[in-house]
Amino acid sequence: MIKIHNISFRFLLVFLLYLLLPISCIDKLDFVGDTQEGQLVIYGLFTDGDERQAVNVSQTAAFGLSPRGVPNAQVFLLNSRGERISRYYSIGNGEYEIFGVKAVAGESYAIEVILDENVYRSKFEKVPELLAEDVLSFGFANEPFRTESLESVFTVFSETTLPATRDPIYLRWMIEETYFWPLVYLPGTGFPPPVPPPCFISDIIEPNRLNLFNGSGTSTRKANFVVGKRRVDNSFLYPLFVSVRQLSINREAYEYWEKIKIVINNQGSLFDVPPAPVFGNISNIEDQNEIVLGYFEVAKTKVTRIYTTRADVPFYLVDPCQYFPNKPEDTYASECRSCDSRAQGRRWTNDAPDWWKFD
Amino acid sequence: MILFFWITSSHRSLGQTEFKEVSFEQKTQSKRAKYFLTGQVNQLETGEPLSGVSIHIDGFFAGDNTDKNGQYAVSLDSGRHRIVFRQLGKKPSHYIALMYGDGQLDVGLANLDFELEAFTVQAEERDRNIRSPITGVTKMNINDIKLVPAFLGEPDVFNVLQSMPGVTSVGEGSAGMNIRGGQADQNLIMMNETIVLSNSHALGFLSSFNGDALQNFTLYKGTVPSYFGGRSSSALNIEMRKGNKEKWKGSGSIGTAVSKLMIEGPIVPEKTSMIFASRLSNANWLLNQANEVDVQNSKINFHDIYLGVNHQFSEKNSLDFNLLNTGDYFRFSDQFGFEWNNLVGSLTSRNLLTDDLSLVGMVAYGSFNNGFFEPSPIDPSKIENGLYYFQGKVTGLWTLEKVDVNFGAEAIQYQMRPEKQSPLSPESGIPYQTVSKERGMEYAPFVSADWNPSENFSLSGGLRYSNYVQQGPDSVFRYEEGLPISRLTIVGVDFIESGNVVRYNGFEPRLSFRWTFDASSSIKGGYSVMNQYLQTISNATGPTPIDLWQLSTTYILPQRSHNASLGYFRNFQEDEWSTSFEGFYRTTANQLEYRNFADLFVNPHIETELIQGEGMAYGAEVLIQKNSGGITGWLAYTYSRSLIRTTSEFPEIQVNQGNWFATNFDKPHNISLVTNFHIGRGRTFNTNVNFSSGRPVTGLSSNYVIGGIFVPNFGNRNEFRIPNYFRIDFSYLTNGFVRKWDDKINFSVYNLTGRRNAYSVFFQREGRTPRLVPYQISILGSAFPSFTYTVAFGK
Repeated sequence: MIKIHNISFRFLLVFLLYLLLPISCIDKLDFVGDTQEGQLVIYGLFTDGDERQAVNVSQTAAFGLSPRGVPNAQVFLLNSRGERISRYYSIGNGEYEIFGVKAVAGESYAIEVILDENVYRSKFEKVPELLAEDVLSFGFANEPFRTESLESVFTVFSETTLPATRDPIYLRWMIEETYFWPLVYLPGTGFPPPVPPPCFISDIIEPNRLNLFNGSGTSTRKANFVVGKRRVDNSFLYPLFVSVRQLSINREAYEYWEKIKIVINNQGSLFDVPPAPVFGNISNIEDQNEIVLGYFEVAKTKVTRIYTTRADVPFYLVDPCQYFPNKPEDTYASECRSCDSRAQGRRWTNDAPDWWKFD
Repeated sequence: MILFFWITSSHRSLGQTEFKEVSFEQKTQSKRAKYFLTGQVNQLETGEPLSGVSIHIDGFFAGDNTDKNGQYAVSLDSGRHRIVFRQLGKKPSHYIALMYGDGQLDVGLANLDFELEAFTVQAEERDRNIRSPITGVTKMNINDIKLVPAFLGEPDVFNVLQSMPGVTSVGEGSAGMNIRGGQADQNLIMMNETIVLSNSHALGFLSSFNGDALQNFTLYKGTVPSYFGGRSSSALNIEMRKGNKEKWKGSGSIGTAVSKLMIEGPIVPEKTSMIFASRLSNANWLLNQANEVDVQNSKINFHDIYLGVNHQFSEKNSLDFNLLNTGDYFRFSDQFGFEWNNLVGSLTSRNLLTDDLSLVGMVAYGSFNNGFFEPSPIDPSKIENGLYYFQGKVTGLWTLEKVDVNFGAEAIQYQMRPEKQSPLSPESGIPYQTVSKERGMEYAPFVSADWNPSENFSLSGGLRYSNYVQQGPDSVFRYEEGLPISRLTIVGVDFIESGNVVRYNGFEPRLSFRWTFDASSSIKGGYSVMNQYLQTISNATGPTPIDLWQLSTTYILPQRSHNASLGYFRNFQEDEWSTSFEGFYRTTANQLEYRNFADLFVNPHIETELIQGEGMAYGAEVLIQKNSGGITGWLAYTYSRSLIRTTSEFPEIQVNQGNWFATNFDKPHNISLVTNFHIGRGRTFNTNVNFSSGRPVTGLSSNYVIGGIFVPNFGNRNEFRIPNYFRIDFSYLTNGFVRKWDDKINFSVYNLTGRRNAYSVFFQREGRTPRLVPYQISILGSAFPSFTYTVAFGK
């Protein structure tokens, strides 16, 4: 006859509880290394589009804080012969821009930045000639997004058709939203009471997604991508446009962005490529040892848009600015009375963009 | 900890060993290399023959037990040996046998009362650390391995080694060990002297060697004998058990994550035996308990199978066949996955040719395949690579009056399999792509001599002349002179269809000495040079099971290391306590590093992604070991540094501007405390406490913004360190539930305190703030219990 030894069932219970514990975890770490400040960062994008062309000049700050803009630089656009063909104008906070100049496919360009008697110059970058076709769509779903718990999420998809050629093509997408936000209409303020101008608020969706595609390593000519996701909130109460800007870039720029993608998405896991500083194509012409961060890139570009209205949203949305006749004016949230408050640092305007049109 | 050991030292050992000396002389003048010892073991009180008594020779189980008549026969090298006869419930009998002729030794074993059983646990010779001729050797048998608490409750060689001085790893979940500041690929890992390239399961949590079939291991971390070579840091030889020649028996285990089966017995009684042992994982249900969807959708499977067959033709000739097959599959959600498979088979002949000359010949075949796949929705693809090799080795032992001479030769032919990229589905646009890989042969004659001119002094010297030839076909790229090797500086390619592409060779002297002051203290030192022609390349944080093996080529030069070590060894209280203090220093030329953002897969010119440099490792080790008593165990402390600097003439490809920097596995301080509480009746309570410095990581030095993207700007490679590591494990080994069965229970908890030890660090934005903040990943962030139930049959 088989006899069983006395077993503590409490022991077994504790044992089972252990098994239900999660086995891996992520914690915020309390270490800050020796940070470097004052490193020069130059980023410029020059495209073939009829748009504002911009260069940003900044310097890194201590403790990993946001970089500081450098407003006192001189910035020039150079053609393939090294001639200055245009000068960028400072609009403050390290932003420099030009209008009315655009890139020509097949041509090469560079920038020159003069700062404190130092001359920084980028390599010459050639503008690609190919573009792909994007067809956009969107969807709403409840899914894990920023955390493991379910959230209401808006997703933008692109069905991209590449040109039927064997020539290499490298693509990057930037995705931006612009939504309409009316300020609350308060009839008691003036005669006739003025209708407050609406806000058109713009922001980059998921900047760290960095959508890249290397068309040279695959025979795929049509591919479906998720180009951006964002949480559904009361921005969807009114029409929201998504502008997907396709940038056809050259191989060098693609490799640069690939490295940026590695460092911004580094999960620190065993199988991640260890991070490293990413060096761009700009250097001090007299001191090659000075590390200059950033990149000057050229691109052939195309913008595709799609919009969504409240009728598309399958979730219940609360309007924080609903008007009630007896409600005192100062009890409305500031976002109901001021575009600046609503935008919270995002770009905004009272004028509808040219493309703000509904089919 | 010192207090703890002071307290435990007050335990009086009741199992103090007394060795009886016996001497056997040859009647004729001729001297032989091997002699036979035969005899019978009886119950002392009754005179009845005892079967199944294990015979331990020089600290290790010889693989032989007494037969049903209590008789035994073992073959021993000429000289002095320590022989111990053991059986559960009997008091062991210890002998010093001076074997200068065949002899007969009959033994009587007395019954053991409860206390003695509990207090005698050390199977190994206690003064071996004093008398063994070379420094930096760690030996252990399976009984001791089982006493160290391990992940999943599996007795594991690598786990035990990491509690010994001088042995570390990058962290949990990384394959391979770092020995005395060496890279994982600088360790020669063998099973019965056959090279095993893939030697871990479950991303490195377990070794591939099943404890049920394992007999012992020997790690040479100081001076590696000249009959081992091909790696620049250390050699680890794992001896597997031979099957029982008289009786079929086995065991089966079922555990929370691993199930096992072992069967052994005579195919032809007294002549041919076999042992079969296998393990199979059943860990997927554990993944399902996680509260992350990606982990729930992940999968982990592994297995290993070991088969050993031994045939004894005569007293002088025997043949062994060993086969090891291991396989792993790991998939993380639909993001990525790995699979690898390893096969090693060997045939070993042991022959006593003349009275003073024995010869061991071995031929082996090894094959290793691995794959990395991305089952992502767009362009799912898979990359496969691998290699196979043939190994042949002949080792002779010639025994003279005061000198033992080892000599022989070894050859290994490596053939890398082409690296293939292929689509995983018909819709995938990834094209088939193949990159051919190298073929090479490494061969080396070697000789060594152990000279014992007096009782106090011994000298061991050896020389190995290693040669390496890379053989065609191969495409050798030509690069523009005066510029760094890169894909942008390729100016041509030479295709070499056959013949030799490149050849390297070098002498490898090995030297060690031992001076014994008295019976309880000695000093030992050693120096060795070792060349390495096969290495792994990886740009991951730590060694992974799928690292690419790379032969030396025209551009990838072989590594060459110089190793020096010196140690002082002292035992106390008649070897109940043994202590050692050792120092080491090593330099390695041509150590490989990857360049920033290296692209290693499907790359026909892999040298463009690599850079070679100079490695340096140094440190000191302290070991305090309690060998017997109710509480046994050891305290190990290691101070170790491992540094590297790249030595390119081109500053643009130098890592960290060519300055010395810490390797990924540089952990200066390591402390381990292993304690075994022997409660009696086969029950032990064991703990393992580990502390080590945090390993280096590449950290963030600033942030910048480009195109709306907040980009972290990383500083020099391995400039920062993750927090220190601390872990406590415990295990409880006891008899099973059923009194009539020979069953055992192993309950263990890995990381008892649930400490979230950092494995790695990444940086992430916190909320809407642009500044990146560091986060740590803990692979095992909570206590991890396991339970294993084992039933033995046929005892």
